Amino acid sequence: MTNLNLKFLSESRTQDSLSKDDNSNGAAIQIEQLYKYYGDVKVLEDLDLDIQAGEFVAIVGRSGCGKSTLLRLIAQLEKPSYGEIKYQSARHFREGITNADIRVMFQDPRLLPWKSVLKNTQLGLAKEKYKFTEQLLEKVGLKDKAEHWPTQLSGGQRQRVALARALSHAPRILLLDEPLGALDALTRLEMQNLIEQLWNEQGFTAILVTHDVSEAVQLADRIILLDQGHIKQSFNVDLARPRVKNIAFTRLEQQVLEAVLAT
Amino acid sequence: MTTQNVSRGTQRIFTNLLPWLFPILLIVIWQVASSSGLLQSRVLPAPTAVVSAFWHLLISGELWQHVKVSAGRALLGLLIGGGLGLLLGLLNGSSRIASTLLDTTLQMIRNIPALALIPLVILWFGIDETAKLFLVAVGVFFPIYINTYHGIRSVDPQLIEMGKSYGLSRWQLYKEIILPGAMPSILVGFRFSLGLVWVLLIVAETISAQSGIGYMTMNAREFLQTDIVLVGILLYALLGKLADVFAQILERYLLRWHAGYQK
Repeated sequence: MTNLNLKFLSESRTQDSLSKDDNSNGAAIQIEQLYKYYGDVKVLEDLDLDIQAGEFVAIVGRSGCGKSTLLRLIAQLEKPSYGEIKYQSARHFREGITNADIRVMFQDPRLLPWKSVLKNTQLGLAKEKYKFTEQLLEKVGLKDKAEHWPTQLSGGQRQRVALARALSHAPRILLLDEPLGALDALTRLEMQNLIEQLWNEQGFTAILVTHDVSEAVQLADRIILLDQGHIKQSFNVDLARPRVKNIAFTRLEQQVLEAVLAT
Repeated sequence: MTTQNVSRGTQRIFTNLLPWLFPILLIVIWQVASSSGLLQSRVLPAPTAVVSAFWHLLISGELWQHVKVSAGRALLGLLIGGGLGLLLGLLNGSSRIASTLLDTTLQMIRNIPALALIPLVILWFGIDETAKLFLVAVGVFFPIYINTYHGIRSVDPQLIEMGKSYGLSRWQLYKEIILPGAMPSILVGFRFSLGLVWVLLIVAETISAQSGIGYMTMNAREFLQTDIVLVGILLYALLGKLADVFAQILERYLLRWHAGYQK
């Protein structure tokens, strides 16, 4: 059944763009009847969500709606109280998805201050893959900072190192927990472009938790609105990439924003 | 232009010399007071007498012999006490069971001043080397233990979570994140212990010894050789300063990633 489902997914992919299908390294995620409690507090309740391989999904909602918890559950940082999250590789059906295929980018970069920028991106990586990290640093525009300490970088540069570190493991799923929230507007735009570009190139599945509705419309294929642990609404973003802020963009942004405010 | 440079240069020499003005003045007054007979050599010998005593001890090789013995005791005591403190600090910092089992006991013992143990130590070990080493080891144990314990406990849990989600093994987590994270605190304990080591040694060497700076000083007191007593006191100051400089260099190297140590 899952196989059928995934075949269907890849067909829908071809309609979007062919290039994405070629390197769809991503993994599909199926969430079924997910519950999460902290003591008596219900954070997520009976949540069902299917995410296609290579899809870019944004999760929006007010503070405390459970969006970060959902991300942490998908990241396997926490265990669900009930329910199940299934991961499935799109290209190789028999291949399992393990923790090593999932990488998280946190709100703050969480770099190790006692390691150089390059050593940070190599954290937990096998030695033979080290040269790969140098290419990634070049891609995020920090090749000349490889031997610097993280404390010598600006906030945006640190977050770019964190992005390179996450991608150095060639993940099939990249989870982004408001990684751009603390950056200034200009740096944020640059980072959005960078994330989109790398997502295009590497074909991982991306899930972005954000407060910023505009950012969600800018990046996502689909926007999920979460309210008190439920999925309240889902928006498909049928806008051509790279996205420009035209009338259709603004209209959708307005629509999502109103829905968020109504929760 | 050049006159300005010159005046700036003299100004710098002036600010560099200023801290030494008072000590030099003091020594001059001291010398004058001794030479004029105002200050009896039984109370305080002339600075020149101290220098000449130092010179004689140095030539005869006696000084080197005593310094070697004292420094050996300091080093060995530090190694034993500090090593145990580090080990127990690491253990209790990392394992909740160990800390519940041991920490209360250690905190209780900590409140006993090491020097209060002298009568007991003499009864246990007599007056030979073991007694002195024991005193030094007990004294330096606690600063290192407490700072290591506290350092491990205060490692940023977000970094540990990141490490776990990046697939680090327990040993890697320890080596890459926990130990370097605790290092600033461990070094504070180390530096504190280095200061303490000499205090403990002075007392330990004055109770009963056949060698060492303390013995040299006490022996000189018997014969009213105030110049040698002063040499001994100044030697402790010198060795203490040397140890502190060494600790500073070590700190600057190990914490070179820290913003506070970057130029």
